[in-house]
Amino acid sequence: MKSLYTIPLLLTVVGSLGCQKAPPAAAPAPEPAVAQPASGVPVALADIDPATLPVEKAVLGIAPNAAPPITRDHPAKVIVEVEVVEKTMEIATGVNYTYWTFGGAVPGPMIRVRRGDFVEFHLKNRPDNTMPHNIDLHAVTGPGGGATSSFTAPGHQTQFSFRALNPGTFIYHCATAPVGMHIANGMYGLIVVEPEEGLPKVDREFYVVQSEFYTPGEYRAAGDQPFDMQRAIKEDPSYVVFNGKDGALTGDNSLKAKVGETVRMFVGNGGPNLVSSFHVIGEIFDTVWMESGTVKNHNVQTTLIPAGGSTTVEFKVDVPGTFILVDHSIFRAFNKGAIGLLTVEGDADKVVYSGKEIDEIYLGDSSPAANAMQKEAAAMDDSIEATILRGKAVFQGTCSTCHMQDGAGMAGVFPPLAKSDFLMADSNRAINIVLNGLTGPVKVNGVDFNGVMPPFTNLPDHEIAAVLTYVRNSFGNKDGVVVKSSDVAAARAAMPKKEDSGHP
Amino acid sequence: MRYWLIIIGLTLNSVAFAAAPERVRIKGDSYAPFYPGADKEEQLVEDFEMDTFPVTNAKFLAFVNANPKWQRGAVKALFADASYLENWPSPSSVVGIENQPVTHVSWFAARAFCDAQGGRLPTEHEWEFVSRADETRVNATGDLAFNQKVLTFYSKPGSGHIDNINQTPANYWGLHDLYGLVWEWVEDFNSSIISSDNRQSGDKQESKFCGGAALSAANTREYATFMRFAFRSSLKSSYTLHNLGFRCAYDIKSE
Repeated sequence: MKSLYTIPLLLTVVGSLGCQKAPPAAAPAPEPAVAQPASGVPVALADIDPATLPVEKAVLGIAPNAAPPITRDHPAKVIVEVEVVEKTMEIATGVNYTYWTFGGAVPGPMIRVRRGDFVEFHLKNRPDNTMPHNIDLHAVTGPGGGATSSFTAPGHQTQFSFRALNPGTFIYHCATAPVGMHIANGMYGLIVVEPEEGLPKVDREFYVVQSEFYTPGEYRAAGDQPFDMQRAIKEDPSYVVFNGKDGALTGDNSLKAKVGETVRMFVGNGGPNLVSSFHVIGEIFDTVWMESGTVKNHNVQTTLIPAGGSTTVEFKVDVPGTFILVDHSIFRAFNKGAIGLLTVEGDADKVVYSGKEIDEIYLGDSSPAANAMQKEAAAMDDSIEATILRGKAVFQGTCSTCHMQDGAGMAGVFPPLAKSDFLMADSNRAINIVLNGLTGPVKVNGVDFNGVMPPFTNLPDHEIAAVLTYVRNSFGNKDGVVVKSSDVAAARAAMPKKEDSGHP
Repeated sequence: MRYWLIIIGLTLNSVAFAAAPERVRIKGDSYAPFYPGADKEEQLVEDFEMDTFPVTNAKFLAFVNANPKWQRGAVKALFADASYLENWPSPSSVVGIENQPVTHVSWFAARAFCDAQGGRLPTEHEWEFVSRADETRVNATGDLAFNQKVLTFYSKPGSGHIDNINQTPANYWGLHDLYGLVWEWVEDFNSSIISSDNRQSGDKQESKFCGGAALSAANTREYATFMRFAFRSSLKSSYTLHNLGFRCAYDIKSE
């Protein structure tokens, strides 16, 4: 988990504001808009003539697989083709939802280009679709992020081009009216614009997009579930999921990595409404490219992803196990589906993480009733009656949890104290058991027990003396003798020294 | 009860057609359009008549036979794009799809058809005015259940198959299938000049969607209406779509 602290670079980034995007003329001088993170020196893009650029077709990433990294060191004309498909698919087992998609899946394909590239974008609206659609790529500098130039009727296709001026990971989405519904039905994805020097090499890259769905039925209510406009307006989703459906990243669909690998996740938030508190349970992000901008943060537990925004996180997986992606607005994870799994295989590192070392009974000893009785008893003398009363208070807060209020114990699990031959046979042995605990086979009243009683060294000598006086004179036991605090003190002094077990 | 009506409609199509008049009279009124004009909130819709059902393939074939220049293959590209009537078995046959609404027709073709019937395409105001009605009310748009029903239809994916006409009960005016089968051309389909971004604010004429939309639309919860306006604004006059048909309107002859 080595972290490199770097001095944050202050950058002037031309915003991609979608709805409120200002026309270029109104924006402050956009020319050397973007810094080179490596040097910290802003470098303006060199002019290009698109006609002379090498042409390549974009290789798209199908979630959860990211599109492959850019290996070029020069700009290119990149042709991107995306088809809009309206189709019914399962949003959860046995639950159908009519999705509107880029490319037939949610999220749409991940597009990956290099800063300075000239992108020729083709949007195809299938002939059997019902609705017109368009696309707003937040990576585009221009009115509507491309939406003004890509409005496409069913059975038609449109084309527009843009230059990728700013590096980062950007959401794209449909912006046709009513825009919220087009997004709510699944029309979003990510476009990554790599900086000219590329992104640092990692072992694994994943493509994850969180979003929510609004249906009349609750989470996992079976049958056909249409879009529910009222719930969308109330921002009351029935589903909050990663990659478009319940369980898209769990079970057989879990993300996979090996111990020692470095993982990068491009994580978008399609919304349409909710902001995500993205967290991976059991991992700390070594690096977060905050909001997928150029500023890096380190050692982050949970990072915010705005609706219509993204983050890029990187972390090394040091130990094997299952790591759980969640929106830490945690009811969404627990009750609406915002869960994904990263399964890491490899050798354990017991120093980084031990696994479970101890699992034993812990008995709280501070019930209000017991405390009150203890106070009352403490004010009394050390007669056998008073000692029994003090002991009863200790018993009820501590011992009764297992041995029961009536000392009968629990058959086969906790030995009885009532009429107990084992207890009454040896007072000093009883003191030692309370101090040291008792693990392993023991025969009580002819019955074998084989369990664990924890040590109660946390109890002061006088309380141990009192509670033993109580149990040896209750539940049918009749000893008639007060167990002395001094005997307990002597036994405690004779205890073998041992390391703190973690138990009180 | 409604199911029974539909079943009867399906099994006894010709009977159902015979029972319903070819066209119905709409009593005009002033109404508040979804996108009010710049100068006035209310818009007057005069009395007019409208086809009870969308125009069928059978009726359109009769028109094509009488006007061969509108035949598939003969029509000028300016007036209809390449998918014009492409779902017909042949340029002169509609066997098997007689009672389906005609689709794959351009605005020019739809207009020519209505003209040949002594009618015209309805205006956007007329179409929106009559489409506010459910079975019992002139204006059901304030009813969330009505809005959700229309919305659910609009958000269904295209199956590639279109049902015969007369799928839905008559609305208040006696009109069938305004929702549930196909989109319909109107005369001034692009007069709203909706920005193709659909969200821009600024230019008043283009302030239709997103922030701008909420400001200019009469009721921002009428998602179905948003979708209709968005759909129309994506069209060009020569476009022919698999799910876009039409019906005609008629002026009332002064007596």
